Amino acid sequence: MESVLRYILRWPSVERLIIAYAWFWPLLEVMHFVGIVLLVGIVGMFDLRLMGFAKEIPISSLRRLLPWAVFGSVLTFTSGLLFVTGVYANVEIHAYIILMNNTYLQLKLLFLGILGLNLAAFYVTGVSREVDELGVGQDTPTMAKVIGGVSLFFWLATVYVGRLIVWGKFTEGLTP
Amino acid sequence: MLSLLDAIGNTGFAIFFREANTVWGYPTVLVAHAYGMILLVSVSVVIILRTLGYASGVPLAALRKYVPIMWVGLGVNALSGVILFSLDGRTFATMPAIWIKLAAIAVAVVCTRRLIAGLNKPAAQATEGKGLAYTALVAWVIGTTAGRVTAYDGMIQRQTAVAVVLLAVVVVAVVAFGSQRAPAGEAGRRG
Repeated sequence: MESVLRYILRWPSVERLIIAYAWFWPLLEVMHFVGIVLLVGIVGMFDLRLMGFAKEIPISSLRRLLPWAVFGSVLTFTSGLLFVTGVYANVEIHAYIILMNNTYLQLKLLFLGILGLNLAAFYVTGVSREVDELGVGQDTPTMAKVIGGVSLFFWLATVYVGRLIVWGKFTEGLTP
Repeated sequence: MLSLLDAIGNTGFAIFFREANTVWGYPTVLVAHAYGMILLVSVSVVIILRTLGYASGVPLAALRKYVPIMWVGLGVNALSGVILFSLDGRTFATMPAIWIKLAAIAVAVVCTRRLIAGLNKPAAQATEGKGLAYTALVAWVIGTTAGRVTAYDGMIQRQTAVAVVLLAVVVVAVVAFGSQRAPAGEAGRRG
């Protein structure tokens, strides 16, 4: 398991890009931030509506904004993957060591896992279809409020611990 | 002026936030700055997207409900921004990126305010709205980029800005090409 993780978590080609071009890492950071605004912001607005905020907006119409959140997630996941696989170029410590020791990174991955399960629950339990049929001014079912609340809380928690990764173990040398 | 900034940077307050070996100092201010950015920029971007014709099923007037969230975000970032600035005032005051960032935010906020004021107006004024929306969108990208690169030196700042522009051109070209080729049903859903 360790050797597999050590192999897939370090991409020499990404490291070469980071070393050769000083702008590459900050470009990834800008992508990550723009992606966070689109992903967390739009999903957060959707979550608030699920929780009963701004009932004048039909949920089915708010859904049309979700492709922009998907675009945001593409930006954050791509840049995030390149941060991890190229981190050696900046700190000279294998990403596997950071993954095994950096509590903030571990919490972030845990929270993303919870968010994945929560998203699956939204579709599997039929809440997604239920809320789509709600019209203007109609309140959401309790299950939708719970799913929206969990999503909002863990997205904000993900941003929190994600921002702190550079102050965790084995990431000294990364720009805060 | 710069010596005043140095004096502020040497107060116990600034030293705590800059140097205390705890996540409750500098790291927490940076987290607050990220939260403020999400609240402010994302609500603004949704208003921009709605003005540009995306998610047209969302009642414009109802978007007003989210506007106070945006101003909370602006407040959080003004406060956390002043703290972050004060920690190393001399460096920041003499760095063009910071002033570009602040100017971009000012432009984006003014444009967004005008879009909000127009939320209840008839669609006849939509053309002016689109100009404001594109201006605000570009200003947010400039503001976010300039803000992020303040952590780097001048040469890397300029190179990163060029890289962001090139990447943005590619993304816009792909989106424009995609929406031209999208079948009528797709375009209808968007518009």
